[in-house]
Amino acid sequence: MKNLLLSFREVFSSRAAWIVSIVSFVVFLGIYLMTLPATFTGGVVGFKAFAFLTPELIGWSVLMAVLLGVLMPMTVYLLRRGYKARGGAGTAAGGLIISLVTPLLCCSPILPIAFSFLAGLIPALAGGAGGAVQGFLATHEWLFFTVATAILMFALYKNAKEVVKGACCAV
Amino acid sequence: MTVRHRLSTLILSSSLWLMALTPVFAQADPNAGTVAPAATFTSQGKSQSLAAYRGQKVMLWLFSTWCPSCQAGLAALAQEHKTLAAGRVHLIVLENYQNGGYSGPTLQALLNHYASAVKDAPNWTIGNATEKLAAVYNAKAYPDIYYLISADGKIEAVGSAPSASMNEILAFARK
Repeated sequence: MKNLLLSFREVFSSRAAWIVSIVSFVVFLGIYLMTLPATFTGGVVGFKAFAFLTPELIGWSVLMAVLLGVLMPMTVYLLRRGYKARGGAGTAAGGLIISLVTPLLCCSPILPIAFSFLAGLIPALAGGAGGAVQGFLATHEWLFFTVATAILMFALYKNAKEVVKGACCAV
Repeated sequence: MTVRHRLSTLILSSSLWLMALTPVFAQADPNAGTVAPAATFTSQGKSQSLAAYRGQKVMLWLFSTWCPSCQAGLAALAQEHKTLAAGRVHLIVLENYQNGGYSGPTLQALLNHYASAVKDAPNWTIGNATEKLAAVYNAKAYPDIYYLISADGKIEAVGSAPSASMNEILAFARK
């Protein structure tokens, strides 16, 4: 916690960091608001998805957008100073991918098409295998969003540690 | 050539080769423009044939009860039932064979929650897809898929997620 506060103070001491943070928050919030409702639209994303937003989805969107809004200026800070940021950036990317891909996979044609293609090679995948995976995704979406959020928080912690470590670890 | 490069090349070429064979592996669901294949389903414990609905506009919808877009679709169709009834569209709403491979709420529970006002409507037929019907109309086991079938038995459109594609369904009703 102390590292986090110290790193915030260091990173957000510049106006540029605030601009990066706000722009990142707005962009990622927009992406999440257009993508998370794909659960209800069968995979359709975009402005059409706004009609299917629920308070729960808005909450997840805001939470993950806030985390990314803080992570982006931190990552930029580290990269500009030549510090090690690959780990944090990679972790953050993982969290972002999980959070965006989950609603797309659960109720869109992507998995059934993939499974029917693979079933030609592995017959055991024919029949209900794709449905079982989609069913699990659809009914456990909260779990994937929780994991994605935890990954983003871990990325934040990693980056904060690097910021506080300072010039000793520049590459 | 490094090992990594060889592996990448192998994966890419294998993928391209397999993609080319996709038509061999995949069974296509009937397309728009073709005559709707004959099939039977069960409703209220009895076997019914799609052929019995020839002469009417039909929306044949197969869905899985665990699927959120299907639940939203059910609610959306219930909301538009007056327009669909005025357009003389008969809805055949069927639970996917084995509920698409994953357990979920019962069809009755879903109807009570999302479509209680229309579940007994004369232009709604609720039932379950047979294995044969699913093999013909949902070979890839999509969570949901619908067919808009004209009165002469031709498939006019194929889609999914009625909640997101309601404009197409209403356009079919208004024809």
